[in-house]
Amino acid sequence: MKVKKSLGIIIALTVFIALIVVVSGFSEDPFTMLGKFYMDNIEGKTDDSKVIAVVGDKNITQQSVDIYKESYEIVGAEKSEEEIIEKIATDILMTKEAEKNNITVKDEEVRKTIDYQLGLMKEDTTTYQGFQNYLKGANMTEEEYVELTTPIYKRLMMKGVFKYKILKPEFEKSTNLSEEKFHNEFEDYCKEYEEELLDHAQIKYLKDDE
Amino acid sequence: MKKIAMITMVSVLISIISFFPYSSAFAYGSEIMDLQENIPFTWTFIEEGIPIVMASQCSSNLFKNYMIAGNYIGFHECSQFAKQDKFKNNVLGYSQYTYAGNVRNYYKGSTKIGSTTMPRFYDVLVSPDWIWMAFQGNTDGDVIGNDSGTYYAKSGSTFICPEAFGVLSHSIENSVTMIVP
Repeated sequence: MKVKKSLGIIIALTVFIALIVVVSGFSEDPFTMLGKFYMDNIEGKTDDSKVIAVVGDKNITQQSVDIYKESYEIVGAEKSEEEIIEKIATDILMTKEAEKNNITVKDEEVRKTIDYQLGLMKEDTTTYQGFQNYLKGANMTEEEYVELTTPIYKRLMMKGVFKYKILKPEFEKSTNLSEEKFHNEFEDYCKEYEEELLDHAQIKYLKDDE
Repeated sequence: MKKIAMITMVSVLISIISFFPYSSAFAYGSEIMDLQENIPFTWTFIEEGIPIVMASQCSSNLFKNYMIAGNYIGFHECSQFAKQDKFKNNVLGYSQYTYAGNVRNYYKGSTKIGSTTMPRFYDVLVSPDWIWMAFQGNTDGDVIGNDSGTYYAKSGSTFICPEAFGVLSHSIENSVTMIVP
């Protein structure tokens, strides 16, 4: 009887350990999942999907929205299609505003910025591990990642330079805030600026039902 | 046999709950920093389905001070100065992250004898690349002790970045012990 009981416990424990090993094999961190998502849905894919909205002369396609939606879901964020279209539209509008104000960012500046960001990231072990997992999941080298993200970083930098070279002096002229309050208020000012841009942008929605 | 079946079932359930694929997203929710200066950390964002990183740094300094004034013997004043959290000069144009809260508690031995909030001030451009967002807290002259003993100050600040994923918040903790003879 005693032997039977011990045997039962051993079997149960074995099943438990086996399950941990098997299930943990399927459990992946968000970075790995994003890497795999890149492999399956972004790399080498041409976008011939339906245009669902137009902002100025730029099209927003179903595929670009789906990519955002699914990648957000991977990291546990839920965003509606409308929110994603607004995000993409705001990016387009802010880049246009930067261009209108002759903001340019040279490729070597972009490279320097990426190197700087990645260099500091390597000292943050948690994120660096995640980043390594992403590269592994996407089957790409760090250099390939830099190449892939250069246009994205360039767009983000244009937005950053626009905010600090154009919006900040404008805001400074219009206010006399103490240093203590300035930074938060400036962030609000930038947010309102983006919202106004979006309000006046006249986004054309081309979905069947609209 | 029933017991074995139950153990097995519980094991299966625990395995599934513990290793459900999305659980790792939550496990990344927060990170505690040790007492150090200029600790680099990173916010991660999603752009066009690809993770983009933006580095940041944080620091914490807690100073101890006591003085003997007038007839007071021993501990008269405790002052703390904490300088925490700086962010890159918004090079990527993201809205900056939000200050989530802080705790400054004072103890004598294991007894809590006081606490203070940390008013924020900006220490502008310590270096060309970084803006420091600093928080300063002290006892503002309040006497939190006037006799010998071991005093202890504990601080913790948390910053969140709603746009980021993975590590959504960063916390930095600090403490200092002061022995008043």
